[in-house]
Amino acid sequence: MQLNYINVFFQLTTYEIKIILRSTVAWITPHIFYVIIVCLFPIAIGHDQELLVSMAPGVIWVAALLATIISMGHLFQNDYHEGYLDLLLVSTYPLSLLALTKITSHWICHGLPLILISPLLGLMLNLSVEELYALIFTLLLGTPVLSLIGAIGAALTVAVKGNGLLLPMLIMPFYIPVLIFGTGIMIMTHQNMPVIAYYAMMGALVLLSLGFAPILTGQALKIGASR
Amino acid sequence: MCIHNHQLCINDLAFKHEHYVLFSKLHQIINPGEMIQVRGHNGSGKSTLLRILAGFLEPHKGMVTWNGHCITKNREDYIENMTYIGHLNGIKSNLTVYENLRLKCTLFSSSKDLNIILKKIGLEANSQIHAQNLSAGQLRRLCLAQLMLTSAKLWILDEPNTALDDAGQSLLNTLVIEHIANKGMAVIATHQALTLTPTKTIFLGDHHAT
Repeated sequence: MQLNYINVFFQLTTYEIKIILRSTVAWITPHIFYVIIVCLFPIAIGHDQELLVSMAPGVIWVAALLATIISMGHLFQNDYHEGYLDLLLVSTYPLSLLALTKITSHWICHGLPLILISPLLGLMLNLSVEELYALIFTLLLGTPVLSLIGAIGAALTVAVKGNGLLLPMLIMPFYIPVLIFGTGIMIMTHQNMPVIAYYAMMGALVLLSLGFAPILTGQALKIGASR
Repeated sequence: MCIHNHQLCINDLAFKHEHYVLFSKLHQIINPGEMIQVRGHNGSGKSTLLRILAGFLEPHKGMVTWNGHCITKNREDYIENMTYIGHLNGIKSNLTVYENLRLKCTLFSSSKDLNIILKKIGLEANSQIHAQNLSAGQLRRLCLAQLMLTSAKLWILDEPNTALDDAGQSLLNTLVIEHIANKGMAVIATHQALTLTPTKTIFLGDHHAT
């Protein structure tokens, strides 16, 4: 049975990824949004390099957060309107497993590209090599948490009409810990201070949300479907 | 109670919207080999009743039991034995017909031969077409393939014959008749007359009709 679960997890994740990648516009716009937001800052601030470097961690992280929230809105919305959510609810597999497949595919399609783009944006903001590494590693640990926590909010608000701004308001506060540790590591790296404890905290956040978020998302979907 | 002898029991069920009572004091028992037709005018609460029976909605009063256990408390056992098809088809529009079927196969852990099912629902020639290019009737046929994939004893179908042509209707009728003959159970909400005479009928909205 456990082996079966793993098998089902991989099969469903493959389908979810296919579904996300085939709706190209919805997939690509959050990434373009991310790039544009980060690009706006150097233009607005001017050529003060010191200021730019000290602001870079915050700018990149906030932009990544906003981009994730935009893509989060689509996570269950189409499923709900197409009636696919009802299908998930009467499937014999646990809802938490099905929720985890959706979250994983979301991270692969939206989190990974953010990480791949970010070194380029870091270079543009004049980050040093050590800071670029820190940026990649913090995003690698941080974006899964964003996807996991965001999914709970997306599931809760799935049946709310015009939920455009409700979802960000609901989940933004829960993104604050990731934001603090993510930007914290980069600032500490800039000042050549030891950061291993911060990385450990971020790892703990990943494990914690990985444990709770799929179960909570499953429960939230049940509530969300009862219209 | 014997495990092999399934029974769905609707006990004093009531549901109300904000201001008015949709239905109340609903009693019914469904045994293997029985088909229940839910009838009533538009807005009489047919879909709501079926969503309650599927466990998506909580009734305001009364409860639904499966083999003597409340369906929301004992959901896992119930879900293994129940399948639900609502108004919406649950088809992913940017997957092909074949991929949609495979996805359903995974969700319902079925290992049936998909080519036979494709032939039965008459979409063999369209198997590589994206579902967004299908007509409403074809989508409904693809949706009904779910009935061939699941091994559920209880079918809850909300207006299953919408958009179906004559061939589609007869396919649906054959499926239901086979299912009932194999000691299955079905709750079907529909306006149209069914080929198979329902064992019992639930009338909603119009209390005089009962």
